[in-house]
Amino acid sequence: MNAKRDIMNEPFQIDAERISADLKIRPDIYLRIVKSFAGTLKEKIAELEAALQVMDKETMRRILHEIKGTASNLRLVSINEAENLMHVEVKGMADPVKLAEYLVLLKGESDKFSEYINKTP
Amino acid sequence: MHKILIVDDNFENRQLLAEILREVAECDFAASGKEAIDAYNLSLQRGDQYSLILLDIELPEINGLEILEKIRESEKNAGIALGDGIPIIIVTAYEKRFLEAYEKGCDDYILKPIDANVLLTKLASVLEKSDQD
Repeated sequence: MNAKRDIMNEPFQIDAERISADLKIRPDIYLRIVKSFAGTLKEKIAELEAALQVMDKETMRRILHEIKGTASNLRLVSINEAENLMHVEVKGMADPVKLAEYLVLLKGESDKFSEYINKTP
Repeated sequence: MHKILIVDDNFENRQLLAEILREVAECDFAASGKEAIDAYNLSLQRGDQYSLILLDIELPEINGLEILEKIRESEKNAGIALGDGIPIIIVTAYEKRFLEAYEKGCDDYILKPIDANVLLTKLASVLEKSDQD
């Protein structure tokens, strides 16, 4: 629960200079890819919502795995943390109430991410 | 400059890999197993083979391991010995899956999240070995 509280309270931020240097790509290109992912993430979350409504665990696992792969490649730590809470739950007990709660958390983080990236030149 | 086929169903991952490789390779993309097989076959028909394939395991319909098997089978049928075919580096989030990939004939693996230094080093090593052969 600590991880959950921390994610909700922390402002979204990306150190594009440091991450792009680490990835050996230009910062503007890194940000272009990250902006693209912000849109993709919204689509994935909509798919997750639909899968949760019918408790399609396999689809939820697949989508969460996709989010995990890209968020980790792009070093989007808080997206990764929010995704991981739901991912662990869906692979374990898959309690629908907890899954819904974690989905809200992931959506909240995605909204913060979009807001941040839209303000970034 | 080398020509590399990046196989990943995620657009942003393909873009990221291509940017990391920008200085060393021109990249083509395949977003599914079928596209990967088609691109591979087309390169053979054109006589313009890829220097290397970067192959994600988790793909819809035909997964990366099945693609690897198909390519090695096709090479075997063409009389190409295991180890002399197109170099293939598997990209996976799960380290344990690379053992299965090795058995099916991959040359190396790289773990997600992608470390640019590791990717470039492994790529150079596999391509150097391939050039020597």
